[in-house]
Amino acid sequence: MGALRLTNIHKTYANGHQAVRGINIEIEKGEFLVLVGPSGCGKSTLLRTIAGLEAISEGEIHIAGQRVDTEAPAKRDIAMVFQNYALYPHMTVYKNMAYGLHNRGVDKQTIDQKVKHAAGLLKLTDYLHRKPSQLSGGQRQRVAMGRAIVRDPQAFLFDEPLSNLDAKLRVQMRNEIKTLQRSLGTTSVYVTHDQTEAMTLADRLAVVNAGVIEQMGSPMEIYERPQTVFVAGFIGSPAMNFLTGRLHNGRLEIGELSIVLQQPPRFDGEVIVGLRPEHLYRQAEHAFSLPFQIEVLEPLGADTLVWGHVSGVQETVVARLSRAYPADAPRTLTLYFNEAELHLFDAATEQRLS
Amino acid sequence: MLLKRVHFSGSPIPYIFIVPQLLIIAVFFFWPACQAVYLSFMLEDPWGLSSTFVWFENYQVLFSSAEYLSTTLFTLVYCALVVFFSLGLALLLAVKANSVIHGQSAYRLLLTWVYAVAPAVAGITAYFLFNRHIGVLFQWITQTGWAFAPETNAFDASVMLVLVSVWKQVPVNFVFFLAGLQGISKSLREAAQLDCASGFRRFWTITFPLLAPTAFFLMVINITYAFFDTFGLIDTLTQGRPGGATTTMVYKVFQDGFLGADLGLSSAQSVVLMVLVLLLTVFQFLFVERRVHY
Amino acid sequence: MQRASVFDHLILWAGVIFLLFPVWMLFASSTHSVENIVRDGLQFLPGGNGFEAYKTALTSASGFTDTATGLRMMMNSLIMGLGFAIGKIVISMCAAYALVYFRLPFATFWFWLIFSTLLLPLEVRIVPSYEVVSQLGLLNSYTGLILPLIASATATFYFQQFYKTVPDELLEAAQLDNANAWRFFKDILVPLSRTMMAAMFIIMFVVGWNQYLWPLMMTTEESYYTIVMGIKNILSVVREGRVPQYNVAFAMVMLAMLPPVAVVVFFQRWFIQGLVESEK
Ligand SMILES: Nc1ncnc2c1ncn2[C@@H]1O[C@H](COP(=O)(O)OP(=O)(O)OP(=O)(O)O)[C@@H](O)[C@H]1O
Ligand SMILES: [Mg+2]
Repeated sequence: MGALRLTNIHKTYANGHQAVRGINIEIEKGEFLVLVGPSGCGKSTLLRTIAGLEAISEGEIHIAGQRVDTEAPAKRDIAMVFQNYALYPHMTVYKNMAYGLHNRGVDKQTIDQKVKHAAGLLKLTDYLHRKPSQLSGGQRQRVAMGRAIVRDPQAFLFDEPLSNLDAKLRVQMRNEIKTLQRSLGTTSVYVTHDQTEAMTLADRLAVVNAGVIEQMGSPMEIYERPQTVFVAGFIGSPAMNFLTGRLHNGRLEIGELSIVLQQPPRFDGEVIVGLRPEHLYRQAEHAFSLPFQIEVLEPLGADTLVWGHVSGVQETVVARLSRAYPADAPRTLTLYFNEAELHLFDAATEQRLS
Repeated sequence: MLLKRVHFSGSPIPYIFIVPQLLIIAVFFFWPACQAVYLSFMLEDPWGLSSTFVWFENYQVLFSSAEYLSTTLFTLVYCALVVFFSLGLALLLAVKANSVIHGQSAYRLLLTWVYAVAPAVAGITAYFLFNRHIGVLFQWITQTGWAFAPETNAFDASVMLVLVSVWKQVPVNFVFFLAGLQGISKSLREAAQLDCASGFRRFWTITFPLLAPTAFFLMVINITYAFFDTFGLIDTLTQGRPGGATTTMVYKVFQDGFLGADLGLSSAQSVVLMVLVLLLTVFQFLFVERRVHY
Repeated sequence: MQRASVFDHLILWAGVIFLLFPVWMLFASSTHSVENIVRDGLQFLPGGNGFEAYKTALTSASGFTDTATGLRMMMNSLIMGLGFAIGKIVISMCAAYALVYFRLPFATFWFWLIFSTLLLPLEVRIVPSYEVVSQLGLLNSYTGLILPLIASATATFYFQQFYKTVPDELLEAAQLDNANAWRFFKDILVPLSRTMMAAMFIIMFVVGWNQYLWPLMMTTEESYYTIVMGIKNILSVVREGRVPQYNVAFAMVMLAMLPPVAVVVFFQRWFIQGLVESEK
């Protein structure tokens, strides 16, 4: 039995906009699920329906076996961390954390103990008597976490909790959240559109697009076997190269290139060929070769991004070459790739082949 | 009209919260306002025993009355003068206060406290200062050779009234102009300094256009003030004397309705004022609100 | 640069003197004897009588009214100022809360109903208002003095605007924290509105204290006279051809303006905020 079960969730806003269109998820106890997707795809909406801040139009929500989709938010035993933290500006850190417990009639001593414990976990002990306005961004973020932790709820819901922090702090807080969630073992649903955050945090990742889940699985599974062109393009940075090609009797034609696949999918016709930039190599030990015309070099330090064209193919192709690539090196080179790292999609349905 | 994304629902609390306000405005606003409209169509007999429905007779009497016409004219002229002088003076002071570096908050204090003086108190203060027997201002004015006689001379009385009304209204305008000036960003002022050497030109081409929304808005506030809030001032300073020459439209509502006990006529005047306020509000929406965001 | 600055200060001082002069004259004269004033007119400099006139004005009925002492009238003014300010703030905060945070049936209608009161000042509907209050038997009562003045939505409008700027997430967080509608109001919205309330309070207190026409019509019993309307009796003394006790009269005028002026001066920051915000 899952800690959190969403069955066929639909959400249509009063203005007729269908933000969520049939989502099914079952989350195990203690699991960390990340919802990732482009802006406006309905991630926040889904999270808010779980919290009860939006009513669902159709479907069922079960938390710890209880059906809760008509319950008030406070009755669902979940805690939420907001993007702008939503701390009560006039209350001290202590009161911010204690407020929810106080309203649930928890006695003073227990509240005190829980708040102090959470403050200890979050290194907030010295700040308990400050107001939110006297804290740094990272500390406010921690208070928001603390407010969730003291409640010891069935599930944590996070809506882009790190997006107001600067890059460095974001990495640090990301790790803290992960460690904390591990040690508390609380089921969590986390919304983000930052894919690094998604990949690093998630036990399981759900890629959302236009109100439906395109694919759900472990981060590596999604990276290695994206089921749709959308997922393939969304996960990975820089994004996967897509080339149009034809598959005929196990022979793949891309521009002037024609290769025979060892394990071809049973398919004849137009295909979209996906190849990640990091899966284009300079070493000849890989099976297939591509003549490549360099146009732009983007040195990243350890790696170099090389932008250019493959003869006979319209789309710009990018390759991530390890180590620096000298600027005065020849402008043409041969790149190699493997069949195993090739992603083939049906051009008509954009679904993965094989 | 949804103001918030999330709402409370299924609770009797909103009714408990809104009912006091609704009750009070129903009893003390809508009932009297409707009464005013109703009474404006009625004619009471002189003893107030019976009244008859007379359609627009009260309005006809009102609009054909030379006295009401002159009251209206006086009100408009008075209003224009008060608005012009109190805005002008306040703008001058605000610009100066904004440009001095030392003592800005002291000046602000010394130039705003008059806001708290009641119009009636301002009126009686002025009454003493312009008093024929003890008033210094009266003495100074007569020393210039002006045979100042506000009790009998309509012009003199009007000058006095406008002066005191301006005195009372300068602080409010000053506060708003100063706030408006301080709202103009420093970098903008510095940019203007680079572009335009003459301070005077800079004021009229940069600062003043940016203050225009404040000025428009203050104009509405000042018109309202001159119409309605000056009641106490008039009642303590001139009571409309000499011979109704300093009676404003609002003062006349009170005179006819309360002192003259002509409820129908007074109510008709109230309705005229309601229409004027309505027009002013429409004007405000059409012009001021639009000008605020440039 | 230097010369311009001196010129600026000169203009500002002229403004300060323009505003201060009349009140200073009355204050200085209030410390002179009646004889002095009658003989020499208003005085620039304080005289030798000290605050005697103030004592008379506060404690005796002083010939301007028959029974109401200055103190009594000031008490009434205080009740009026406080009652008006507190009543208005409480009622408007509640109404604005209902309008902003609930899905009321006919919400738009209520909204327009309440905000249409912004259109008509009390002065315009003064005569029928008097009739209504007298029919309700509220003449000569604090209730009758205060309630009709509260019947306008200025403060409601202001609080409504303020509530709209409160982030939605605070309500959401509070809902997750098991705060019901009442708790959210009491624990979060009201504390958040504190400075706004203070600012409103200053403005409303001044407005309430300074009421003139309404108490003038409403009160016939002297025990309900407020000091601002009470000064009218000074004029009737003059009009009857008697020589008034000028110094006591001036002291009354000073007393009538002292509390609101003091409030505005001491709470300058809130006053400015309240004025700028409330008139918006
Ligand atoms: N109250 C509402 N009424 C109508 N439409 C809404 C409402 N709230 C959100 N939407 C729409 O629903 C869609 C999904 O919104 P949602 O906030 O869930 O997006 P999101 O995936 O969280 O995006 P982001 O990454 O930008 O936060 C958007 O197109 C949005 O415009
Ligand atoms: Mg979102």
